[in-house]
Amino acid sequence: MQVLSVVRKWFLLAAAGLCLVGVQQAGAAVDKKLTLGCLAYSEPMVQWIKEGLEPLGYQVKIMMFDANQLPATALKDGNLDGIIANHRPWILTFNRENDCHLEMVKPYYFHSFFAIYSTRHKNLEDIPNKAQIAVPGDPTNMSRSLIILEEAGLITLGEKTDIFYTVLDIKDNPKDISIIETEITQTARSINDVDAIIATAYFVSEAGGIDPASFLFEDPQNKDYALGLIVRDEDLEAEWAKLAMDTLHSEPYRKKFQEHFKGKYTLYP
Amino acid sequence: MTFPEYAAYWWKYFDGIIAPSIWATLRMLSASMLLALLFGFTIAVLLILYGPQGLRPAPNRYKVIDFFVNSIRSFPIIILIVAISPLTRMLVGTTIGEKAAIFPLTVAATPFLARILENSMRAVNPQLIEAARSFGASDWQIITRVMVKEALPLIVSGTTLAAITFLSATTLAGAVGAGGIGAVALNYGYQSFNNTVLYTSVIILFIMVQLLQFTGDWLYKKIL
Repeated sequence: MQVLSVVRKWFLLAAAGLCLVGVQQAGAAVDKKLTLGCLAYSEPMVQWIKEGLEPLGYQVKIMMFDANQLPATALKDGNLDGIIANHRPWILTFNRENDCHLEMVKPYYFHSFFAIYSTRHKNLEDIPNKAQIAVPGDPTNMSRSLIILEEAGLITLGEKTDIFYTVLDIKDNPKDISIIETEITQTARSINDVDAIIATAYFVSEAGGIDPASFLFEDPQNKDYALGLIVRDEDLEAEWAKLAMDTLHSEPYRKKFQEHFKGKYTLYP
Repeated sequence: MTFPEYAAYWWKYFDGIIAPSIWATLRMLSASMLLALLFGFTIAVLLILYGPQGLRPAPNRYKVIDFFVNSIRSFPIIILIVAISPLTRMLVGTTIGEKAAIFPLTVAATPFLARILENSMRAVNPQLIEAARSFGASDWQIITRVMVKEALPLIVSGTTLAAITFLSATTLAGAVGAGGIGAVALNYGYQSFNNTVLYTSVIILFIMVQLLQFTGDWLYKKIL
């Protein structure tokens, strides 16, 4: 009998405790809990947001994903509050394909640095006839690479056959350059095997230890591929989103960004 | 799009992208299969010689070769392609393009074929081998004139199986810039939201598999 009553007492205490916890949590403003998504490369940035927001009473949970479209899908479905993962043009295509409304919080954070790199040649003019140039084979990056080659004066493009430029759309190729389509991580790795590659500074420096500033030709469209905090459009003006961007653009965190990425990405002013 | 417009659009992709990739796939597949048959046969002969019921049983040598065959077979092909790329650069001179893809494909196909050839030859009736031996046949004569001859139908059907398996493996070689029909289906079809290219490539892969199987079956019957 005595044992039973002790058990009952403990049980009641535990139940009361649980209730108390529940009440406390409900009291601490539900919308101060945030879940942010990221990819491996953007994990430090989301950590910085967490560092900036937690002293202000927010609870920030971070989830890392390993595939490109997963964070955006989770954000669209309401499982995440914000992500740093894909660039803005990609998000706009994602919106069209999935009939949703994701948008990047202003001021935009940074952009990647796409360029022509080479370990064999010092200048664009040195690229010989019949040169081999490796590019990422996926359609968006392929299309962008062909535009870079046109801007660099190596080829001219005709009209697009489809949504993206492909090798089919090359009109003139005076140097008879052969374009080798590779998987995006392989592109950077193959830098010593070809005359030049087109890749982001991030990949080039991670794969080959090559100085991001040693490019032959910079993609003039770089600034159009903004990266930053993406939210559902109803959250664009949310207080936390503004605070997050304030943190990332604050002087100490801009410095952290530069130290961490060492020129692999470029911050917006 | 009207039909003639669509036909012109289809032809543009077929002529410019799909057709060259078919040849790339066939070159990669035939080169790697031929090389793998050559090396695989050599390894299979060693396995048959030194195996438990072999012609000259040698358990330790067998274990070493067996371990080697198993360890290569444990790599998924895409991992093998990237993992042995320093070796590829040493031997082929580059890590991207068709030639660079043939090397890892051969490395992957060799133990696979070695196993198939070993199993086919092991299935030969031991009494036949005993009979040949009693006539004073050498090991080499037993292997070439009895085992290979008797096992030929199994070798043909096994090689057909391997060829079809490695046809799908060539689709991964697209990752290292080797092109091929699989890479076209992925990059120009699926990822570009272009169903014309995607399904044309799929139909071509389907036809390739049918042709391989048909040729294999035909040879099998011819030999049997």
